[in-house]
Amino acid sequence: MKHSVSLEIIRKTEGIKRLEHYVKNLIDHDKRAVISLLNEDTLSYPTIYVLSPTIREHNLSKHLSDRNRIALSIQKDILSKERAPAAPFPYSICDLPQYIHSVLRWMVETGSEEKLNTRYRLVIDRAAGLLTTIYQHPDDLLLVSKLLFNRKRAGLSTHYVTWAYFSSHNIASLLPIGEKLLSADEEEVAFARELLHFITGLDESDDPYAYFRSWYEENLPYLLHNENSYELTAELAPYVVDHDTKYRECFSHKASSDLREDGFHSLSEQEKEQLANLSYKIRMRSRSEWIEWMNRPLSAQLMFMEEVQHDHDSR
Amino acid sequence: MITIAGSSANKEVIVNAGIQTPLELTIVDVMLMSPHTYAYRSLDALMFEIRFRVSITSSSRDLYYSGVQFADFYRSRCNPMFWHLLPDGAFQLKAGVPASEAILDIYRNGPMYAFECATAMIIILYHAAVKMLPVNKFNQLFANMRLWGWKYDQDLQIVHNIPPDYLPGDIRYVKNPDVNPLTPEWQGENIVDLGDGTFFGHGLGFRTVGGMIEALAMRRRPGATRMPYLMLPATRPGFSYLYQYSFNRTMSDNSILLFDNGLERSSLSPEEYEENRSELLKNFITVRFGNTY
Repeated sequence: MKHSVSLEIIRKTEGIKRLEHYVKNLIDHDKRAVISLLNEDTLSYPTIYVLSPTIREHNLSKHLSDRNRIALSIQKDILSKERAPAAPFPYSICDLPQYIHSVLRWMVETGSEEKLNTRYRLVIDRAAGLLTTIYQHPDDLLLVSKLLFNRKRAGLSTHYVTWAYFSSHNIASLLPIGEKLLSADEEEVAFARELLHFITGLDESDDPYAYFRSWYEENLPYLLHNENSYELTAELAPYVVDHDTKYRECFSHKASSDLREDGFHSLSEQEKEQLANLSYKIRMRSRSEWIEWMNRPLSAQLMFMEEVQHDHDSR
Repeated sequence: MITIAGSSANKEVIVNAGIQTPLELTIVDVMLMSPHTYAYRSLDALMFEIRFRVSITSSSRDLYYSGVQFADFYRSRCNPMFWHLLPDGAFQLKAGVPASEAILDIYRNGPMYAFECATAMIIILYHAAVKMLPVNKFNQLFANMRLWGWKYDQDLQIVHNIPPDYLPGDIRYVKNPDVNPLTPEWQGENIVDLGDGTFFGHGLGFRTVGGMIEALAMRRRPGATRMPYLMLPATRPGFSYLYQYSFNRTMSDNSILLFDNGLERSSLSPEEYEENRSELLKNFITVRFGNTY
């Protein structure tokens, strides 16, 4: 235990060169001690990454723990130059595919704050992508959101981590971002606002976190995954509210409902959103009142919406 | 259909205004046959969009033959004489460097550059704009240019929506929903409609839509169930916005531009205009550009 802390401390306080020098020296004198240090549970992935050329050079891989060997296999696979057509990841890169998920978690968890160099960041970002797209465990979202904000704080590219994060297709991925609206760090708040810009009214809100929470709770049943990305547009909207469903739920009390739905579809996006929000509010207040309201013609609903809006504005 | 200054325009007038290539004619035909109304303030504005679209297609071909490489943001590179490579993979124009020269350098020294497909599209649009705008206007407009995907595009007034018709020069997107997470740079491909049934995608070259889909399908994850597909939206620069910068005006900002029945343009001072106003109003469609830009 004492030794493994030493490797971490050497890297963090004396730097990478000193760490490499220390390990190379120790290999010459006591190879077993080096292996023991490398296999300590408390070792972080950045240390393994930094020492990977030395490990390769001295042929130490076969002595490493399963975790370290798998991490180095993943690293090698990610950094391999040719990848098209797709290599059959994760099935063939190591003999223990059942451990890959936990090793990926370890890599991202212990490695997200380190910047080291571009190749290192590529490994971490790709590992995050594997977690969110292949394994899709909800617990990993917090881990990847931390990585996302670490990258932003360091002024580094967030492009692929953002893609990885929202590729989870898990609506709960919005929550860790929303919680950053409470951060004392203004840059974190600004980044959270940027990622959540698709929420109508968030930018104008005085209490963005409260606004986000109520928006999330209100729209959760109606959120759909959207197919756009920063590759397609500057305006990323990972989820969209299904205004149609929010407006009518499963309402079909009258034969005229088809006509009403056609009318709803012809409204502008802003009108659809406003009418859907009003419909939801009436439904939450009283279902019987809502059914009565839904039986009115669309024109009457729109007129009522304008009256409500007028009352709200004149307050 | 096409309207010029509110009146329906016929094909002959448009063709005689300077349509020179089959691709230009294709654009006119699609617009004329569309149930959507393509409205322009002048014939000149229509010709500007047509030529800009053709320019986008030729800039796409030129980019391919320039020798630029495809790279993800980790491996982006650029000519340090013209650009700063930022930590996020963006290219920031160096202070004092004319934006037009920096864009042209990408085409002259292609092998020194490597970037993603969305950045390639922005470069193509800027390159087309260099050809369509006076150099001094271009350099003024894009003095603080930063190239990084679609994120810093405000000067081009990018329009991104589902259009009534698809036209040559449109940028489309083929989405690859089951991309291999180890190669997220192939999560989709921005492609330029070249107007002859083929498209250009940076990294994939010239292919039909089917060919693009096939190439992306090879970059899917093992066990993928979804095929890549062409999305409905199209992306274009704001042609009418950029049009206002297309003439090198030496007259004062208060000058009056006059358009006659043939939409030929001439100009005069506000004083001259006021003096002969009633006569001019009979013979010209007048447009005042009073400090509008």
